[in-house]
Amino acid sequence: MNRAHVSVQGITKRFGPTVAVDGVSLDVEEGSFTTLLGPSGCGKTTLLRMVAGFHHPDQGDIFLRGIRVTDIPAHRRNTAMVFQEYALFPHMTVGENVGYGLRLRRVSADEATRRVGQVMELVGLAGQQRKFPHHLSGGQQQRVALARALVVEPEVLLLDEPLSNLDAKLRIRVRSEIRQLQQQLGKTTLYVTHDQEEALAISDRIAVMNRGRILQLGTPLQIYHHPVNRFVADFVGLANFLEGEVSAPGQVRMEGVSLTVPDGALPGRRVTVVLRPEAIRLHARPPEGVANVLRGYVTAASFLGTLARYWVDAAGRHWIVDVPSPGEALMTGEVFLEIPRDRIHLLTET
Amino acid sequence: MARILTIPAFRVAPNTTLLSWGGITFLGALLLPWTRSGRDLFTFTTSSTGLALLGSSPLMPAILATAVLVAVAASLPWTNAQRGRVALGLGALGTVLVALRLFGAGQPFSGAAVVAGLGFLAVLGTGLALAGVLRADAFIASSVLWAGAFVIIFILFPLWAVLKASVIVKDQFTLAVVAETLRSPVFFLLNNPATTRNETLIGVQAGLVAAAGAVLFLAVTRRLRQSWVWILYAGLGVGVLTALYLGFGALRNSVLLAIVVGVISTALGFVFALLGERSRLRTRRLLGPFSILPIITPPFVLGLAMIYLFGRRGFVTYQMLGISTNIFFGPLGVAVAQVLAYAPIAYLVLQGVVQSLDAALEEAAETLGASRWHVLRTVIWPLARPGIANAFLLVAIESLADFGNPIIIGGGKPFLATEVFFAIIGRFNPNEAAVYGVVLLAMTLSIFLVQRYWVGRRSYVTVTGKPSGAKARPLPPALDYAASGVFLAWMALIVALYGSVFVGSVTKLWGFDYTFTLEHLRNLSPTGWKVFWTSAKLSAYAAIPSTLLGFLIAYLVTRVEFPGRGGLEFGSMLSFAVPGTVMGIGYILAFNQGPLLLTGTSLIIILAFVFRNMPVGIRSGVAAIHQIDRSLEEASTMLRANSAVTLWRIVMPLVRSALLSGLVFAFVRAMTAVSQVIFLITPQHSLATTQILTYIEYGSQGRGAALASLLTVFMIAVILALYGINRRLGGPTAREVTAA
Repeated sequence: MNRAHVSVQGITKRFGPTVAVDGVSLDVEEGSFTTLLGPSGCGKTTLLRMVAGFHHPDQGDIFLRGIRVTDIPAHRRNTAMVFQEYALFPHMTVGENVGYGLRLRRVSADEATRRVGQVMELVGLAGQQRKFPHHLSGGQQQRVALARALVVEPEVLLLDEPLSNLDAKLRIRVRSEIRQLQQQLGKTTLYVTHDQEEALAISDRIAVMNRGRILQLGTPLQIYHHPVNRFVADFVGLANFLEGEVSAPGQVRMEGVSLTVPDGALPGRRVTVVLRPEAIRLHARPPEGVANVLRGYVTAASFLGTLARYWVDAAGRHWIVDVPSPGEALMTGEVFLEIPRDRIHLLTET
Repeated sequence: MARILTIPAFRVAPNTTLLSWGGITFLGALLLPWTRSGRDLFTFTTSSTGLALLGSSPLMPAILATAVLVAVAASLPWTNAQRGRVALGLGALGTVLVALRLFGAGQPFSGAAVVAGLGFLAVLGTGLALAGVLRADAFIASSVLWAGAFVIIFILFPLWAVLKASVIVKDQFTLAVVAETLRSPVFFLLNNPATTRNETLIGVQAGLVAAAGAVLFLAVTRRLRQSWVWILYAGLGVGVLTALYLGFGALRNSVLLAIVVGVISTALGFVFALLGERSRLRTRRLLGPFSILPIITPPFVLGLAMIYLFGRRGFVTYQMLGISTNIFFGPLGVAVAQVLAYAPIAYLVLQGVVQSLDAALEEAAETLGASRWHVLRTVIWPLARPGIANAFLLVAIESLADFGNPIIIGGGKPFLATEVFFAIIGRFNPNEAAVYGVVLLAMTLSIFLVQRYWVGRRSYVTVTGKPSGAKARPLPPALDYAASGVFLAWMALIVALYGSVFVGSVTKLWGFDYTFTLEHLRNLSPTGWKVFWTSAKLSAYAAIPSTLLGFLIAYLVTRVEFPGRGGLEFGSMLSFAVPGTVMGIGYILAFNQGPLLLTGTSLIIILAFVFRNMPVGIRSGVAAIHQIDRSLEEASTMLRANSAVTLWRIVMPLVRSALLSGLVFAFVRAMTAVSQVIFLITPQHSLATTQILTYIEYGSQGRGAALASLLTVFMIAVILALYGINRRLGGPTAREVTAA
């Protein structure tokens, strides 16, 4: 018996000649926050909409608590979805919008009023029931949409890029509110976004998708520090990529440089070295007694508040280096890159 | 530095705009005739030029002097504000003087009056702009005044003439004609003395029963407390409808017809719109061509076809079923013909409504547990309701105003639109015609106002602005097949009807002798061909000013702020709501004598077309101009272009294809118009549509069918040509323009 709350097994969905979702399997545990992350057109929204019941998979099955729901239409699955454009009913008040699902479930009027009031309080919009959606700001509309989905106590909460219409600051605030609410209610949540920072910040687990497949499933830390391939490493965060060959155990040789790396790869294999910008240390003078030091020149520098980002030419390559909490002045001219061995991530497949 | 800042702002070069207008006005007033002796417009009588009148008319020196002063004011080194105030005064004075001269003389106007009147208005406009009264430049200000003058003279004045004629008989105010007409059984008769039953009582009873039913229904559904108004509405509505149904007369026939045709056409239109947007069947591709056909042919062609198929010797009723029936002569036949003609109008309105329904809303409802039926009832229906009301009201106006169908297959039953005609042509009573006109106008105008200001405001804008990416949900297969079946049946009927007209034009005597003949087509020569080309010529002349004026007004009301903007928009859109026959008698009453004499000329027909079809130009103009980012014009202005240049170089090229479509549709509407010109035609200026009616009335149906076929084929060719050109220009399709 599968313990997963939502289980997607071997799902394929085609639209004409294009394969939107290509044999995907995914288990979501009860109470967890799982994010489908990927570039547009990677199939993440199609996958979410199949869980909601808007698309029927060509192959494969979907289970909710072990019960097959593949053929159950959207309105009879106990899932609730929050849409990118909120999809609030413009002809209903906020209260009527939130109470819509309850009315369909034949909840008595008094009970419905009570529960709408509760959930409105939960999303921080107490007493706004009589307004119309167009009287509210974007962030408030988003919360109403969330309240409308939560009030029917769905088995699974589905969110389709819910923050993409909000401005940058608000997006960060609402996303932490969504996360808090999810933790508080212990609601199993499936979340779709193309924003890797958002995915890292909000999720228990992330499924990175591309071309209809899940490339990697893991916690945000795993995804960031141990990407399984170049696509994941590149899509999530920034990285310097260096290609070379393992010359001896713990040694990678590439054009003009040789680096000491963690053990693991067999000599003779082609590998890609992944280096996050903040993993590299920058020195004005050559550091003493450490391995993997390269001499380089700063070509551009940019001050980003909490860190300074440098573009450095060294060993015939361009490097991106992030230095946390920069002081009063940025470095210029000649610098020395120190690449700590334990911060290097190796990809054996290229 | 200081010297640069103190460039003298008051030494301004002569104002060429004012100078030219002063010159044109002066020369026109001096050299052109002010009045003419007969109806003919282009007679040149030297005895009435300004030069000749200089001695005899005291106003003439004043008018000429004002024009000279304008030129002087244009040349003096004044600041713009000073010059503007002077021009403003002179323009107003000149306009008043010209009006005094025109109405004082009481003789038909001629060239000088037109040139001087428009000239002084332009001076006034330039003055308003220079003095800074209007925040616009001379071109815009003059355009506003000219457009306003045209709307007042050619739309409001004729309507005023109708109102006046209904209560003023032989210069005496009297309500006698009104009372007489409204009491006449032709208008409305409720308690028929020939029947034993009391119709009023039955109406009241039906109303009470309906109200009781409403109470019961609301009590069962537990909504009694909030909904007492609905009880009132239900009682009143059913009571009035029952009374109408039992009654007799033009009011009863027209109102019932409008309601029935409105409901059925709207329902069909909604079904077609759903099919067009959400069907998975191929038949939906036929919606376009078949919805456009009834719009580009005169609506009464369908009436004629109804006689061919379902008349006393109709092909279906007599030849196929063996019955000789009169059932389709009368309101029923008119209703069928109108439904066929107006369902496409409802479709075009509702197409936009169905398109703008956000699929994400439907999905949101579904994920909250709503079934298809619930989604329809709680989401789609409330959102589409304003659009549906809109379509219903538009069709109701068209039905009330329709003249051709009631006259062809009305079976002699009275209808409001035809009674206007018979009161003048049959009973020679323009006052009675005016009363019918006022009743009809009151009804269509109140529907128009309801539609514009009540329904119009209730439409829901998409909350987030951006339409979501969600694709429309296709119709459930059962509904898809059923609706497609309805559409196919409708289409088959349309094909049969148009086909019968085409076949009828090459058939010896429909209903009796079906042998093939080219006789009717040959008999079109000479009269038929002549009126056809007169029609085409006058429609083409009218299409150009109606489109250009329409676009100019569209530009003014969308882009320029000026006092009276709402008034100009309302006045110019008004003729949408004015039934053609009412406008027709308005033109007769307003332009049949005195200084504005125009009847009997081809100009009055052109003018009737222009101001009838201008709203089409305005609508497509507004739609096209809304597509243009305002910053394009602002950029042009920043680069020192005045608004005339901006309009010509920036706006015009961008709306080119909309302009072309507007032009073609103004032409098509003029070619197929009948009601507004039926009073205005003369033997020299007969038109194709009215000629078809004459043929049918005098029993040469074959020739009528031949001319109608010719007209239909010509219209289709014109529309296809427009499609072809617009496809190359990449502009809106003809369908989009008709929908506008």
